[in-house]
Amino acid sequence: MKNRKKQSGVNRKVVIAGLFFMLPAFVVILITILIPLIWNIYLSFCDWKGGGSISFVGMQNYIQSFTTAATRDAILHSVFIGIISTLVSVVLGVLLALALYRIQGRLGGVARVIFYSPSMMPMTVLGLLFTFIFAASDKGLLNALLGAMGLGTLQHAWLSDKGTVLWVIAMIQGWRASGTIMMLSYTAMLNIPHSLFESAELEGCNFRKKACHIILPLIKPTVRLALSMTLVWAFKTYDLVWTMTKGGPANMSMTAPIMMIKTGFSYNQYGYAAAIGMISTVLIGICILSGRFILRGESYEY
Amino acid sequence: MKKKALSILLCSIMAFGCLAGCGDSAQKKETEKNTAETEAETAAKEETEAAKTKAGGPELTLMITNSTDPWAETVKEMVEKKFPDYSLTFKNWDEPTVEQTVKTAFAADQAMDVVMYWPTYMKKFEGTGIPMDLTEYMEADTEWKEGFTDGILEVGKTKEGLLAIPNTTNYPMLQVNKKLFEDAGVEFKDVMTWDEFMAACEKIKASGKTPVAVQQEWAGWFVRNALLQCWDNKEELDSFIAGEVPFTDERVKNAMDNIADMYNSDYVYPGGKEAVTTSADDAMAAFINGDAAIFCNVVANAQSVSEKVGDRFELGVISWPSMAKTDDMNNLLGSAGGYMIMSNTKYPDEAVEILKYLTGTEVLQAMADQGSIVANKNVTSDDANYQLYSRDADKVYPDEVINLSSEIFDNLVYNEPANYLFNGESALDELEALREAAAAK
Repeated sequence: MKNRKKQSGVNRKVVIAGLFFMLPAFVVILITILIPLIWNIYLSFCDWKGGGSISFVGMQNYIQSFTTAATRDAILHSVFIGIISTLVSVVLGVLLALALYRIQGRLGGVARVIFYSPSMMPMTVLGLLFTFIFAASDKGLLNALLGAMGLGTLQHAWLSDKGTVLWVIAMIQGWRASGTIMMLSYTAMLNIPHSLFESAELEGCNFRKKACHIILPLIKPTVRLALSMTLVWAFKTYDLVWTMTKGGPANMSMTAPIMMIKTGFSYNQYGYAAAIGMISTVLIGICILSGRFILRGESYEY
Repeated sequence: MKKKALSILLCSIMAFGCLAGCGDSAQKKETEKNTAETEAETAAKEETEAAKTKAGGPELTLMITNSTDPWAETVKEMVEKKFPDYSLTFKNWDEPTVEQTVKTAFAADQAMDVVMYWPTYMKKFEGTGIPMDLTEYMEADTEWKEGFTDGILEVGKTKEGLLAIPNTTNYPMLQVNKKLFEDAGVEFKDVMTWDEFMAACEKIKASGKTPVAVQQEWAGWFVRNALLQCWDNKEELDSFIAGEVPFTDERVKNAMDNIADMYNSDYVYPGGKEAVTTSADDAMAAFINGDAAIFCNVVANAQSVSEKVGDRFELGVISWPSMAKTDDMNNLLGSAGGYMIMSNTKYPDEAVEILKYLTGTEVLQAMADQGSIVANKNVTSDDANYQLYSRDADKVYPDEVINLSSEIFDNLVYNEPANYLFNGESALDELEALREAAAAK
């Protein structure tokens, strides 16, 4: 009894010390995230021009967000880019990680650096690079390549066509994030005990079967985490879109973050911009929960 | 025991670190407490004076030059030389981000004391409290006021007062490759009607060259200019500018169709609808390399393009093609370049002194010598190009429908004609909804 009391006293001290050490981080989060978030929620119910008085307008900003076609389209474009790029990055990232796991050795190390390099590049640099690749007419690298291969009929104005511009942006965003997903998945794969693979080999399993029945189920928690991360990144896409299309032409690649900045800084409607931000936040939450629900299942201990 | 001592030490360091950050404000609070009896105005004055003495002179931040402007360095040097006692910080002016920079700085209570901004578009700042009203300063200095070109000061006025002072007049014009005109059998004329322009484009296209090169940010000029010319008389135009005529009006639609025809006929580099996404570099390269015969430009940049072309081919200047039915409706879109002062400046008088110098004869003469068309009566230039580029200055119409609201501005300046090309008449419905919203306000 006395021993348990002593132990609970020690635990309490550890908890208090832990909380004390967390304090600086909490203060930083409070100032940079929580207070702006609360301010943003408040602002989304108000009308404010960035100077002067703030007036409460109730749900008007939210109603305007859903009834204005341009805003609605911008939010939907963000959802599209978020979902497609997340799918691309997760599928590509996991496949690359499997390939790396299979190769290993020195060649694996080189491949790891190569495949991870897109994640290290700044978005603006990538945006400019791909603007040259996807440029219209023969000036674009892709179109020039298609022309040289005799596939001129496939040449396209990739960044000024409603049917392709969002796909191009989503693919680039997904490809860029795939390097990080690859590293996370690969690290998770390295933690799987070798004995499991030895047993599988004794049963005559090839690599495909090992991947499907051992590796993928065991790295599922990591993939779930990666999915949430990439969804958040992709929804916030601003720099890539701005460098490549500035949201145009004719708003066909306009995303929620660009719309928010325009609404706030160009139209002086900070309350409306805050409402767009809140709607985007809720949508990101829904997408993350849906993604995690789809990937739900048992977690294995090993 | 050692662990305990170490943890106490670490906690103390951390607590000290946290409190150190607050130390300054605590100290400040103490000072504020001691000076609480002082009047607010006196305190502000003292603070200003203290700041002046600390740096040996007033500290001002100026965002008055864009590194790509041909006169940027000259103007910077002139200001530094004129105000040696001021501590001046120059920030580069960047068109896409200037509004964000100014508004963010204002929200953080930091002042960009003098900022380059178009007086024509100051309505975008209405209600924000950001620009300082310069009416009193202007009325108090007759010499300064009388130096400006007649009527030009009106462009910087809104219902909140005189918010910006103009320094230059800028409007679009066409620079042409005379050799390509000749090869295509097109007669070179200083002024062209829209039909003549389209006929010339057809001939140039038939000769194997692209008729027009225009960068995406300036494609909207075709629309804005057409909306100044498509009316029967000035009264109708003014009603449209005041938001009393719908965007779905047949004349607006016809004007948009004319522009859509130009794109759909592959007259604009590189051809097709993707021509609305041509970058500035691509448009310029197409013209300089002789792939495109006509380059859409502004008078302020005409000189620099002329220098880039050099001896490659003979350059000609054509006025913007006119859709006007009568000569008196051959209006031209244009804006006045200029400066504003942010209302949160600590040094309003000093900022105004700099503004007076920037819009005075000395600086504007230097700018005119480098090709700018300036808004000052006392500036003269013998340069033949200056006369050539400034010949349409009197056609510039002082107002445009883009000033109805920020949303209409954004839509017409950055989204058209792309929106009409891709979405047809629904683009006009979109504009009409914005006009109704602006009218309701």
